[in-house]
Amino acid sequence: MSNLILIVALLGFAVVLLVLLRIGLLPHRRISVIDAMPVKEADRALAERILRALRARNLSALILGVIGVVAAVLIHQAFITSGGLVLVAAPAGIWVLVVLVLLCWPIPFEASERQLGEKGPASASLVPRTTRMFGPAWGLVVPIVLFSVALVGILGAGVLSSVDDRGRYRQIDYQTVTSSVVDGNMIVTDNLVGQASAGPFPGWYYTVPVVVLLVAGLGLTLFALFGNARRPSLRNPGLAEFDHVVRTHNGYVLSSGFSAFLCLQMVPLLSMAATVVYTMASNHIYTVGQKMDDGSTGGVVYDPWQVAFAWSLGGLAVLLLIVGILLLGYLVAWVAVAYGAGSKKWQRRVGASA
Amino acid sequence: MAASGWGVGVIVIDPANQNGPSEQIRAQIAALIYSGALAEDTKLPTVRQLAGDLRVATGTVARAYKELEAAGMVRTGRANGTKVNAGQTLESPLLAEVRDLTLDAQRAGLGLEELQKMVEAAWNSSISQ
Repeated sequence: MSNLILIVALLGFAVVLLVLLRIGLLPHRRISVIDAMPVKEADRALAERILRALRARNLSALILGVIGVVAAVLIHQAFITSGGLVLVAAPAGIWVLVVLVLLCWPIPFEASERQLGEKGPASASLVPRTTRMFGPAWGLVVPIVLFSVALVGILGAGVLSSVDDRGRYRQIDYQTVTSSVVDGNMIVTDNLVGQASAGPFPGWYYTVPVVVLLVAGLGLTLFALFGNARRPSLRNPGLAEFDHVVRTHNGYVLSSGFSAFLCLQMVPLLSMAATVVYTMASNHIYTVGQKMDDGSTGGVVYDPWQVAFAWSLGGLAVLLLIVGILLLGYLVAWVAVAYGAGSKKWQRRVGASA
Repeated sequence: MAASGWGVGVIVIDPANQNGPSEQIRAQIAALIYSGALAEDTKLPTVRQLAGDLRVATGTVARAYKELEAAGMVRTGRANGTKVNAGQTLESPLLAEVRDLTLDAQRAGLGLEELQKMVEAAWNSSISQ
């Protein structure tokens, strides 16, 4: 049954993403790498080399991301007693893999030895390059803010967590009505408050691996973003515009990718927290004076504040899921740009074949 | 999104040039400062960025920056990087004539290299006279 739910969830995720891309709900204001290709034949060899590298690394990262999802599901099935740890930490883990591929596969800035021949003049702009020049305006702010908020939430949940019967920090203890006092006639005279626990809660068992992966993901993403600005420019000033578009493309892929996976990472943690808080909100309380031997159970009383908090956490999880899917759509759309999607040439070709 | 910024100032290192790379860098930045293309307080790229772009060692760019600093054209702060000093723009009639010459050459469809050769020929002939 859990297999079926996972498969349906993954398929639903893919369908929503495809629909969003198909109906054009995601705005198309992407700069086409294809349109920025230089016209001069002499400049094209290097530009095509860069484009090939861009396509190969983006595609490899996407394929690795999909493999990561499948691997997470399979590992979860193999270690079902792990309490879903692999699935919970999957988004951050997959992003670390993706960004590692992008880092290990640098974008070339020099023609191949065969094409380069004798090294000619090299040119440079006197404008200092910064990370903010390439990619979205929110490229650094959103991931860092999301990361900081996530870290505070995760650490807070970790501090509140307690051990379960297997010694894992994946539940939370709380005060609730645990028993009732009855007199000789089985009439309830009082309700006694005691300790109870609920789970699975995003305690240290889940959050320590997630924090480690998130810190690694943030560090690698920032390193990749700084590297995007640091990479030497192309020798020929005629390729300056193309170089700028390639850097912008890379900046968008990195920023939207990390933000998407951060949002998706928070979804399972918030969902677990929301479920547990809702459980904590309910109390089975016997009314004083009630006779207990008639098979009746206590009435369920909900703490309105805790219910509101649980719904807020659940709502936040849904919101982050939507934002994560939208950002993932952005990421896929940017990757598709390197294949000509959205370019004027591509639009002309589609128009001609229609 | 920011523009690519290549219009502000571009310098070129030519391996065939008799002057070394450091001198080429120094001379071109100095020319851009004198002409006003690099205004007061304009921040120059880091040594590492310029060295990477020009495919030269960082020491080569650092030497050029040091010479510009010694000439009082730029200043280097620890946190602020290298910036152009005030009052470095040359307001001489010669500069205006150079600008006019450049515009005339562009209108005539001449490239930079051709113009440089013409100036070089005129320079050499004036020396021999």
